[in-house]
Amino acid sequence: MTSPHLDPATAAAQAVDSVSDAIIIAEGVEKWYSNNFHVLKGVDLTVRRGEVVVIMGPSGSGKSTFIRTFNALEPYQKGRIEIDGIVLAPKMRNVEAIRREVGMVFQQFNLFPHLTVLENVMLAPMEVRGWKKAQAKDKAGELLERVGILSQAQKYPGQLSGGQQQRVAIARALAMQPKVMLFDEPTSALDPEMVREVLDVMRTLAADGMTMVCVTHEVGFAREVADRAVLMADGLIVEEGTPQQFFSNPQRDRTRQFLSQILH
Amino acid sequence: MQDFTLTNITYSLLLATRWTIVLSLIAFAGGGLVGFLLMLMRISPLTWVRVPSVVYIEFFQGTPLIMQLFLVFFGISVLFQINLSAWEAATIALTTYTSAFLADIWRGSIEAIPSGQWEAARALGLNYFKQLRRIILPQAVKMSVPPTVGFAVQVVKGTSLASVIGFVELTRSAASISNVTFQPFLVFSIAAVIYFCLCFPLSLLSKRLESQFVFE
Ligand SMILES: Nc1ncnc2c1ncn2[C@@H]1O[C@H](COP(=O)(O)OP(=O)(O)OP(=O)(O)O)[C@@H](O)[C@H]1O
Ligand SMILES: [Mg+2]
Repeated sequence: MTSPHLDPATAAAQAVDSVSDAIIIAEGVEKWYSNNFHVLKGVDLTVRRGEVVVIMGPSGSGKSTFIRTFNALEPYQKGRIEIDGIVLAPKMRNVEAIRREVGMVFQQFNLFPHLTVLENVMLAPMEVRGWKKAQAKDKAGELLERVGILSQAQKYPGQLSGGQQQRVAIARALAMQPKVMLFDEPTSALDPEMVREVLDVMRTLAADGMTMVCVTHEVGFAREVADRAVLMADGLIVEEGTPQQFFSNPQRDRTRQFLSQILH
Repeated sequence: MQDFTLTNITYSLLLATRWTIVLSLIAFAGGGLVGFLLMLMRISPLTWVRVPSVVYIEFFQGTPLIMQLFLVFFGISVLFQINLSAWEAATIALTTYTSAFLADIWRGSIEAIPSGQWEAARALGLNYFKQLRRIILPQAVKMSVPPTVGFAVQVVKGTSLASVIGFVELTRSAASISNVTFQPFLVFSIAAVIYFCLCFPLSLLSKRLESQFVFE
């Protein structure tokens, strides 16, 4: 699923190989927060293997909540979510089994400040997959090199820039060898000059055939990398289409209005 | 009759100080152990696990230590038909008292850890126990050291109340000595200096640790 280097030909071949089958199926997902706020009002989304889906939408529309249901960080009350053939039931006994397969990258990085960069990346494979230290270290080294942070491996997260921290966070999630990667506004907390280094890593990942669901307002990234763009508003998916359609010829007023806001 | 010089008053008080120290150490060790379990219960997402610990903590924080000593000393003998020695009663009461406060101090440190840390650990597939052990506790421990050391001062001073049920530690010993020497001011002054020598280094340490652990 992930080739060590991004050879465009291989990546393209992989993408073609795996276009057909769905890895995430969300049907009629509804969620209420404990204060009875109806945050998701019946959301449908199917993501195929190797697909890159970008979710956009105004603040408070439920984007984060929605993608956080995919790794059971948020429970939902109605509808159905299936990840790689496993249904996420409301009271699942083994949520860890799902979380092993679904990596997540957060807006605020959420690196573990008491562990070095290397330890951050090694932790989950050892604790969750039961890898030996040497094996975890090799894998972590390989991933840190891939995101361009290997030289900082012995530092603590607090000593790195935001962009570097986010790249470590991506490596940390990849260390579990997930089948799907979720990104929740991975560049929104970054200074402008650091956005690019993180998007570049995400581009590489997409080219390697990773299935990705990204909440982001980076239009350039979406146009270039996404297979599909989705607009969420008020707890519903309002429009979805290829980036070409979505950005150049949106069908809905709500989408046009949103795009005019973010494109200035 | 024995001649009470300053030296042998001080000497007798220092002998009794051993029991103040021993009682403090036991209370702290026992209270730390019980407090840790209470803290785990206190932060549990399960209501039926959490509620008993809340009741325990609120009760022992909300009543005077001296009342707890009486309750243990007299209450247990009435309820269970066994006579507790002053030693046993003091140990039990100080342990419960200490555990209630330490549980709360530690809960505070854990709740101060940003929720993103729990989330990241959960998202990586760590189970609850591993989230705590690998991610949350190591960070919380660092933060809780200064207030924990600071609370040790309260425990040392708290042991003086054990004198009311007949446990002979520094305060009780000072009272007896002043009864025979008729020099209460001198005797209690020396006792106070001894308490100060025990407590001051602890509070100094706590303050220094506090300034060391200021994050970001
Ligand atoms: N724990 C909660 N309890 C109650 N309401 C919540 C909770 N978390 C989020 N909400 C509300 O749910 C709505 C959707 O939140 P969510 O974070 O999913 O939106 P979002 O689309 O990701 O927005 P943003 O672009 O600001 O990140 C918001 O109105 C928010 O205030
Ligand atoms: Mg959000």
